[in-house]
Amino acid sequence: MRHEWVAAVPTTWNIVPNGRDGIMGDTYEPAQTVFPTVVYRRFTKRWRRPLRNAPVASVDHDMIPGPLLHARVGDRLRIHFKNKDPNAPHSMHFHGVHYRPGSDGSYIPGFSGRGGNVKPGQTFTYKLDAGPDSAGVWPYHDHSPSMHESLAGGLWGALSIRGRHERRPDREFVTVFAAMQDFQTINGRAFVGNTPIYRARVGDRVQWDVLAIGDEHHTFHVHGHRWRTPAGVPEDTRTLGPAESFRVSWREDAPGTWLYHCHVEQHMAKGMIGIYQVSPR
Amino acid sequence: MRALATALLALLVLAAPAQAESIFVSAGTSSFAPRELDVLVGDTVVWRNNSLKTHNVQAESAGYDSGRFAPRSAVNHVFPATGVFPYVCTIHDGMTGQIGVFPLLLGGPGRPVQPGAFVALHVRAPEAAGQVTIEADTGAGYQPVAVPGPAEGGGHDGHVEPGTLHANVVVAQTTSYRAVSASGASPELRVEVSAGPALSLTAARPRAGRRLIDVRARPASPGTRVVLELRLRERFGWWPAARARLDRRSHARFTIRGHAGVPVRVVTVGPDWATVLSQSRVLRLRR
Repeated sequence: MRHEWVAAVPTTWNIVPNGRDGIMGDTYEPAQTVFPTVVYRRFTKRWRRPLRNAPVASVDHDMIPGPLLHARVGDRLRIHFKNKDPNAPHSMHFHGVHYRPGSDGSYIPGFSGRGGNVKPGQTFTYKLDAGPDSAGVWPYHDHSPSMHESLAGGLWGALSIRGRHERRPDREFVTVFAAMQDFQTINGRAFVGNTPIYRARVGDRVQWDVLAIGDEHHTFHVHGHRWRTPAGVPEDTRTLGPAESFRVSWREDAPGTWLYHCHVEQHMAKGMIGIYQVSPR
Repeated sequence: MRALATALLALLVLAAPAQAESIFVSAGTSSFAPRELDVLVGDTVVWRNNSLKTHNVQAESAGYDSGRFAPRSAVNHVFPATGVFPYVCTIHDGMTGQIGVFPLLLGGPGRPVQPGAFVALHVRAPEAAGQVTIEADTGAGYQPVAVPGPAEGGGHDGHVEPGTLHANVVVAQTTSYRAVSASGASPELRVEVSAGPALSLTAARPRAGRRLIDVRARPASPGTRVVLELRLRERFGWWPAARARLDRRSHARFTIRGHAGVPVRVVTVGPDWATVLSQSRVLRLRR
């Protein structure tokens, strides 16, 4: 049995902390890029102390997306959720796993239980099972009555489930494409330098967990690298639509600083681009 | 208004005529950058197509239509008269911009300054501008506060940039300035006075890979939000690495690992943790 302690917490989020689009040279004022929002945050047992959402080895920024939750096929999960937002109800709705309707985390008036509408200050425990068909990466997100505002503000995260005997990768990169305010973001940030800087070494087994949230389609593209589809076909760009997700992996063999981005040009121009640094062994 | 306490260190105007300049606008995939641009009468605006798409520039009120221009090419237009000229790319919906053409241009510090700071203002004036005066908005209208002149002694080699006049003013509070001549006024320049305290920064030698950075503020300002920023190549600018609040003694301590040789600074910020109110000097972390 795996236990995770997660809360929805209010915070102030800056989409462009360095204030610029490093490639085009445009500058942005905090008034254009900072907004109040609510995010998922990992906590210690009984929500005593906040923790980082992602391991430092993989990502160097925090808060959006929510905690990267891990499980193996066959695991039972207990996700203990607390709504620390004083202003709105929230919930957690998980893709990819097995559960009874009471743990669905979505709001159906007259049908869903407390789990679909966790009021300010209240808690709920979601009971989930990782079945044989759960291996992969999946999104989770708010599905309460306030979901439309909170999804636009970053109240989502990723669930990464490995097969029973599957090896852990050396690096796991969570990459979430989502529109936010007037920007197109990766993990809630826009433009190179602000978006996650992923790092690996030659020889590492790297795994990218790629997700899309929102209303648009995106195409995930990494420079200087290729991976294979389940049918064995090599590719370097893959499309995904709202709430779709996939994982790709390879053994790293290409040192250098590379770009990764959404290849929808308008999205790239509005910030959906970042850098990936591979150091020699 | 006396509270402005605006002093001037200015010489007589001997306006060397401004050279007309070429000012560049980048035509991106779906936007012009900068979107709004102020130029001097007679300046040439050059639109460079830095995207992979074909664009055009139509400024109806200026009677200018560039025609289509391809990626990596450029078009230009000289604006001979003052006014505000909106323009559009008719090929791409929502791709708009605006050129303001003025008889004078006034430049300043571009970031908030400490109260009472000496601030250098620069005026670009065309040939035959005549006497130029810098005025400040006192709250009861604009009043002259400085007469700008050629740079005193010029640069290190005595070189004076032609057509640029300079004046130093003391800014006690956030104030709007403009430059005025017989032919009109420059756009308004707002000089923000930061509400943040002055910060002093010390970095200890690294021990076991960790380095302590102490920041102290004057005047005393406990509770003020401070952010430690690193200037990192891969961040393409200043990056907020850690945040803290000043304690009762107006002191905060940051611990950082590694980053030898990297420039660091501490800024005080507003409630959004992003709007900079004041900043320390820049320190380069010794190896």
